[in-house]
Amino acid sequence: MTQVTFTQADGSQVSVEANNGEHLMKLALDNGVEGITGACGGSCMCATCHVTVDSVTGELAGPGEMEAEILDMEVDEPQETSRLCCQVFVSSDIDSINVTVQEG
Amino acid sequence: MTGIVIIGAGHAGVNVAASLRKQDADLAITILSAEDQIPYHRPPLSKKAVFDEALPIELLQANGYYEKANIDLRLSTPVTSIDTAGQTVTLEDGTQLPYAQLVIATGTTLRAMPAPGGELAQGVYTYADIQYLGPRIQAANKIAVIGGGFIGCEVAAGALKMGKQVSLLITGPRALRKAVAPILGETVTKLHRENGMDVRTGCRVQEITPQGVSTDQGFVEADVVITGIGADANMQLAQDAGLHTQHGILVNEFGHTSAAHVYAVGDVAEFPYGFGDNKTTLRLESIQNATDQGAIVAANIVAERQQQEAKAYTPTPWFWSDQGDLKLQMAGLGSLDAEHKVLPGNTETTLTVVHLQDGEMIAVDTLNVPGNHLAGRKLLEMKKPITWAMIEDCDFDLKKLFKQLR
Repeated sequence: MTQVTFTQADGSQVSVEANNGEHLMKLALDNGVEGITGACGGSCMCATCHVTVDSVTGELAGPGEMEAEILDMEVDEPQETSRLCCQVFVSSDIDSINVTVQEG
Repeated sequence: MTGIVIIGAGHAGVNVAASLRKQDADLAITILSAEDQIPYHRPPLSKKAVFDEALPIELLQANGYYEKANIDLRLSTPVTSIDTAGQTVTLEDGTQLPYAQLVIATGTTLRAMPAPGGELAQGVYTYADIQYLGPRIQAANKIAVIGGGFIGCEVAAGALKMGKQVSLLITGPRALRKAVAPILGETVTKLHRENGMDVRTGCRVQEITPQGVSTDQGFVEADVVITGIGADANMQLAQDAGLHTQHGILVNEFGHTSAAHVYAVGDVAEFPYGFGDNKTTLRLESIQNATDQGAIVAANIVAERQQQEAKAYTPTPWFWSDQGDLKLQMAGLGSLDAEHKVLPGNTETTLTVVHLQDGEMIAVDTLNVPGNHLAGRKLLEMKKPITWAMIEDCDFDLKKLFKQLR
């Protein structure tokens, strides 16, 4: 199990335990996290699940080509830690991960 | 004041509801769905879910959202008629629901296979379809797919990736004949063949039997037969109510149908597109359309209620299709009549094709080049004339051109 914490725009947090293989966009939707839309259903085609990764305990793989392109082109001010959370998967390599929801 | 009734709980209908709720916390919103599932994403069904033993379902909104957002979602609740004069809809059990504004988001119905035995073939549109098909695909050795459009290609490529023996039967000369530039359709056809798919072009289906598909190119053995031969708008309700229809329910640029206070949105809506000589009406079956048109219609319902000016829907369409390891992405609305120019620098499995009409870029089709898709989409969204010379001047780098023009 991995502890995933979302910080929403108003500063409040949603913290959930996640199983291996789940992606953060689905977790966000399932737990009513504000500001995550996921318009394309996790197909890495839109930018409505933008987060910044504040901290990770463990190993998190970096963004793939498509995700990097979307962050570069679709997000107004991408940060170094920007991710599309439909592409951030929980795994046994990650004990906990904290992210902040960003504007699409 | 009575509230909003939305017929249909696909991507468009649910998006209208969610957008309305964001703009007005108190508005009464009812969604009527003929299906028995909490609303879900359709694209993954044919791209991945049907091949996964777990048959995963991706919900559009989390379970519990509708209660929390105070949206009255009624599942298994088909509508039998609309009375636009009395502003009511009638449900199967005779209940009449009044509306202040009505949104028709009834989507499409898959075309049935017209050949004898057509009922033995199954399409992929609803979650119920993959509940039926999923276990049968798992158990099958040989699979025949009829239709070389996006859905047919996605299902065929996905089954091939599972290790099944797959035949793809296409009446036209190549896969994706109507959907993408010819060279891309030819490339995709070639790549599927190289992966071991039995792609039969110019192939006419004569009959479907429990043993397979009989065609003018011989008998194709199959344990499961799947069709992807297109879909038609669900507009009977609208027609019965006297709304103007053509290939879909006709709407103006604001999403208004021919009846007052009645909107149509998503796959079922036929809307004006383009300018000048190229002005036409069209119906788009896509997530982009359901999302963007849904947001506009929600805004225009609020505008109507507050007697403000409506916003026009002027989309830059985009589409995607995942076929095994091939990712196709289309920005803009391509045309077979356009001039098709290939950007240099491709590998065996990548391609970028620019559609030029009267010398200006109208669409960009890509295969496994996400950066060019996004750059193409951004360039088209600017709605400025882009010529081949401009692309050439930027060393065929669409991203560079976008960053220059931005």
